[in-house]
Amino acid sequence: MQDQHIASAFDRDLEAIQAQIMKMGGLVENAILEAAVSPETRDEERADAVRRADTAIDELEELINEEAARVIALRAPTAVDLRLILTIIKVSANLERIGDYAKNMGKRTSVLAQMSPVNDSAGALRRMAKEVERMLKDALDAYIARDAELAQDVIDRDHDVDQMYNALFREFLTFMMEDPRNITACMHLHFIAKNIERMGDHVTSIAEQFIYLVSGNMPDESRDKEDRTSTTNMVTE
Amino acid sequence: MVIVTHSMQQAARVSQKTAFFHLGNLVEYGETGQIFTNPQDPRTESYITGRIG
Repeated sequence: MQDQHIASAFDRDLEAIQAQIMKMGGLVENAILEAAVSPETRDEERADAVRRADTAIDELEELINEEAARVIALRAPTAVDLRLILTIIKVSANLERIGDYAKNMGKRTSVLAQMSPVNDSAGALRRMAKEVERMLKDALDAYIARDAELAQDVIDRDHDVDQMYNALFREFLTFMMEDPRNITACMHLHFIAKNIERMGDHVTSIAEQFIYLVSGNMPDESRDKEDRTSTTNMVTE
Repeated sequence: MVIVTHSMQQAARVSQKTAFFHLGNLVEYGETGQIFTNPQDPRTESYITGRIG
């Protein structure tokens, strides 16, 4: 297939909207890392910065959606161009949700910083978030290189994140049963862990979109759900 | 009924199946929905996305 459209303005539109997605991806990667470092360092200022930075992410999503609507209206994209626009709309929504989770982590960190530390789970949370950030980075790299194999690798790695979440869930539950005074802090820490787990799901969805963009087909939905906390009674097990 | 057209909009709107011919040769034939969302031949893709005239 030829690279360029006869109407070069179409190419410029597509390039501009892809550049915006990459910019948004960069901001979200940074938000994940910053949101995950602040519970460990109990750095309220850093947590506040994450909350404020979410505004820029939200604005980019709006801009991308407006641009996508304009391209559909003016250029009537088909085939790979249509898949690109559909992918961009979905991916920008996924990125925006990840940004919201980071923002929520920032809010909870501010509350946690007022309490005495309950356990050393902050390091585990940071490692879990680091893995999600790496998955997002690889997903965006897969998109640039149109590399469906790398995108599939990202999808497979979500299992690890789910397993890390399961381990933390059990740990928090144990701490809460040991001493009810831990409940408030552990609830916040648990929501932070759940936020990171959900971020992983959104990154997975982004990687699936990129496979659809490259191949024209969505990957098989045969993944086993590794997060078993919603269907298992962890207390009696 | 067979309709021959250069208008992609019209081809997509009126047909059940679409065939793409280039210089008198059949390049690709299939369900209209598939041709316009996920064509298999790069020449079909270039034509319907406006990369070649």
